[in-house]
Formats: sequence, structure tokens, C-alpha cells
Amino acid sequence: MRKTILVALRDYNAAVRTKGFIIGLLVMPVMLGGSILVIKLTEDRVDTTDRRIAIVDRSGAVAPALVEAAERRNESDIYDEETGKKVRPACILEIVEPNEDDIEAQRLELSDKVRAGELFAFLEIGKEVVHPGDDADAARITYHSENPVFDDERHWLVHPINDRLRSVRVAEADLDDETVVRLVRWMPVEGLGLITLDEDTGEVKDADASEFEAIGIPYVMMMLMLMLIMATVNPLIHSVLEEKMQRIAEVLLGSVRPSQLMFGKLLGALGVSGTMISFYIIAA
Amino acid sequence: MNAVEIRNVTKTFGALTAVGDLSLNVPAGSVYGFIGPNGSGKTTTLRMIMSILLPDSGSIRVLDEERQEAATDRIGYLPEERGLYRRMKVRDVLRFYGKLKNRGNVSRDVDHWLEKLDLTEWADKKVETLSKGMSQKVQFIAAVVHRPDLVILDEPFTGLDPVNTDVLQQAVLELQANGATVIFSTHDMSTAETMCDFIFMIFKGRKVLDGTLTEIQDRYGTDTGRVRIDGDAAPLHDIPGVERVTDRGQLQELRIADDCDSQDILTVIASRARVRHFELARPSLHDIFVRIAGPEAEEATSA
Repeated sequence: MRKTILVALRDYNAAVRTKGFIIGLLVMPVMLGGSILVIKLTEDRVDTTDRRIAIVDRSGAVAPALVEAAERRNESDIYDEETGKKVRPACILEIVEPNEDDIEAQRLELSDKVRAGELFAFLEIGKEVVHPGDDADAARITYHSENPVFDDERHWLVHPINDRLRSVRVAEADLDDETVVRLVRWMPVEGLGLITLDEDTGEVKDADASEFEAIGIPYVMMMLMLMLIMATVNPLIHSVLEEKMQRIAEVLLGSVRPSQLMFGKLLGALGVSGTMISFYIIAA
Repeated sequence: MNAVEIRNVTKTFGALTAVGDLSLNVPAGSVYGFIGPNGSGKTTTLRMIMSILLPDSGSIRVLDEERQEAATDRIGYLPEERGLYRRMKVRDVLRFYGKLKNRGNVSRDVDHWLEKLDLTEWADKKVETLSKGMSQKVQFIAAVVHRPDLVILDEPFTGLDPVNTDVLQQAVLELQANGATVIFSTHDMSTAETMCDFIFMIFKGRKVLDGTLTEIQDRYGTDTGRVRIDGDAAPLHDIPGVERVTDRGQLQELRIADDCDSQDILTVIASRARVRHFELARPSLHDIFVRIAGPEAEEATSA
């Protein structure tokens, strides 16, 4: 254990007694604060240009409902409730007649319009989306744009599309939407602590769920772990590489076992990250 | 008593047998020289003695300990590739290596060795400011600062100027005088001849020589003639019974065949040129090395 501690102490001193460590110690909060500031300053700088999206609805059952949903959204959801300022882009949906003779040509034409900036995206709704059958292609709903993965519009469209499909299916079953919503209402299970007895008053206290305990502590712990890993891994890799490249490891292995060497290095790196965290806690 | 006992040790790296069925005894208190061409297995053997590498088969007993780890603190090791923390100060790095050997306070020994090797004024400088020769001396101190019973030096004199070579050679002999066993590898045959009590040669992973210089030379007999003649060496060529002529500058070395009379050879030379010097001698270690390892090794040792 003595040799392990010696290795740890050497690594710790080598890392901590450097200008780089002290500069890093001071720069890290500045960088973190700076990045938070940048996020804060730029959070209201959203591209609010209207987004025109073409809908090719081969089922004929969905598009009009989507247009109505988009109009409702454009009237209220895209404005800040307090300031009335437009904070999100409007979604303008255009229904395009399906070209059943040449589906590919129509897709290419719409894609060219997106590339040319005439459209933001186009949505294609399969013929059998209301009652999906064996033909999987006929039941597909596809969204095409330059950046389909990150588009908020794609994520928003999912809800009115499925609301509409459910409504159609419910109506065909001779039910109404309200009844169905009531029938399939999802009941969550709340996580609470234990019931306690107040020894002074004899009152039985209800269990409560602290938001901080439930979310805050794990979040803070996760951030601390992240910092610990970031602060530990870099010096550790640097130290191992230095010893490997400069053949120091062979000299050390003439005195210590490989396990002692690695454990000592790990301890040293943990000491470095511990020092960083202690510094920030004390400074805070 | 033996400081190191190697019994039928084999070490392979994939298809390559670096050391094959090696047995060797290193008597305590001796200076033992490991010689052999590059890649012959010297460093692998030294690393196995240090437990940095483990043998595939066989056993190694060091300082009377079956488990070499138990003797680690009594061994000093200077690896072939020097390894010092470049950003540490000389004194600090030496103290660190000394403490790793479980020596409590090595400060006095550090100062003693720094003074002995003329490095005192560099004690508080960073390793990265040292020249190659100075770094090598610091590495040497790191290997011996804890007063080891066994010192293993892998090519300790390579790259040193003659002055520093002499200093380190003296230091090695002093270690022996103080009771330590010293094993070192070298490509310099004259160093091995003058310093070593025993010489071990490994070639292609196999032991080919082991013993004192006299024992080794006795095996080859008095088959070497050293000649100095007026003029160039041309008259020495094509003499019946002379297997090889080696130009040593001021002297020419002849290898005389076993069944040949040296007097006949002298007569032939005298008939061709004026002979200034003729002596019969046992072959040098260099010559023996080259005979075993061939011309490639000769180039390596001459370099």
C-alpha cells in the first residue's frame, strides 16, 4: 500500500503543481458561466420564418384536420403568452393532390421545391393509414425535409395526425372521442416517501414527494460524477501516456507491481478531481 | 551462493522464441556480463529476472527468493531505454525512485551519488534540462540509490563519452567491492573483458558461452597470431593454414587452422615481408563473438 500511495502522491503533485491545473481551475467556471450566458442571450433568437409544408394525403382522411390543427396552433401556440411576441415559426400546411400515376415524380418535384426553398418540408400520408393492412408501404407516414431528425414540425405533426386517426377510427366504431379518452385514461403511479409521526404534536404526517429529492439530487450527483470523470480521465491518460512513451513504466515496474502502479495512478487522479471539486464547493 | 539462478527458462513472443531453455547461475558478489548481438535475448532475460516479463516455462530464483517480487526492493534496475520524469527535478526523481524501493530516507545517498557522479549542481534542475549523458548518470543513480544487493544494468555505457564511461565503470566496480552483484549487458567486448568476472553470451535465444574469460578463451586454444610487418597487409593473404586475416590497423590478426604449425606460417610471412612483431595468443572476446554470431554481429560491435 505504501508504494501505491507513493505513486499516487507523485501523480497528484505532478498534476496539481502545474500552471495548467491552476489556470484550468479558474477557467472552467468562466467557460461554464460563459456558455450559460451565451445560451441565455441567444435563447430568444429563434428563426420564426413561416414554414410551408406540403401534404400529400393518399388516404384523404387526415389532411384537412391537420390544416385546422395548424391554424389553431398558429393563432396561439407560437406567441409568448406574456409579451405576445412571436417566438416560434408558423406552420402553413398546403394540401397537394396525390399523383397516383407517377408517385416518384411527385416526390422528386416536392423535394426540388424544398431544396429551392419554396417549401420547408413535405408530408406523405399512405392510403391505408386509418386501417393498416398487409401492405406496410400503404400505411406509412413520411416527413421529408433537409433536416428531418431535428425539425420541431415533424415532432408536432405526430400529435394532430394521431388525434385525427383515432377520431376516425372511434367514429367508425360508433363512439365519441370523449368516451374513448375516458375509457383509455392512463393512471400514473406516484412515488412518495413514508408516513411519519410528529413526536411533538402526535400528528401523523402525510408522505410528500420532494422535487429536489426526486430530481435535483440525482441531477446534481450526475453532474458531479461527470465533472469527476472529466477531471480524472484527462490527467490519468496523460500520465499513463507519458510513462509509456518515455519508458518510465519499465523503471517503475522494477519496483512496483502493475496493480500497485495502476491503482496508485487512479488514486492520484481521483485526488486531482477531488481537489477541483473541493475548490469549487469552498468557493461556492 | 548464487544471486540469480535461472532454470530451463523459455520465453516466446508469438512464433519467436526470444529465450530458449536457458539455465544460468550468477554467483553473489560477481560482475556478470551479458553479451550477444541485437535481438539475441539479453534484454528479455534481464526483464525476466526483474519479473517485468514472466517466463513461459522454467523458474528464476533471485537473491534466494522463489518469488522475485519478494526481492524487488533489493534489486536495482537500469533499463535499456531510459525512463525519467522529464518535468521533475533531479533530486526529487531520485528520492521518489529510492522511496519506491522501501528505503525511508535516501536523501543522504542521493547527495552522495550526485556528488560522486559530478551532478550536484544539477540536483535542483529539471530532468528535461540534462544532456543525454547526464540523464544516463541520473538513471544509474536511480538504480543504485537504495543500496541494492543485485544491480541489473541493461547497456549502461551506451552513448557515454569516455570520461563518463570511466566514471560509471568505476562506480560499478565499487558496487561490487561493497558486496553487490552486478549484471550488465553490453556490446563493448573490451568492457566485458576488463570488467566481468563471468561472461555469458546469448545468441538467437540460446546460451552459447558462459564462464570466466579465461575459461572461454581456453576453449578456443592459442589459434590467433598477431603480426606486424613493414608495408601493407597484402603479404599475409593466401597463406596456407591461415583461415582469416583481420586488419586491426597497426596489427594484423590471423586465425590459424588447428592442424597447422605456426612456425611454418611465420616462415612464409618472413619470406614475403619484414616481420616486426609476431605473437601467438588466445582469441579476443571480440573475435570469439564474431566467430559465433557472424559478420552482422561484427558490424554491430564495431559500430
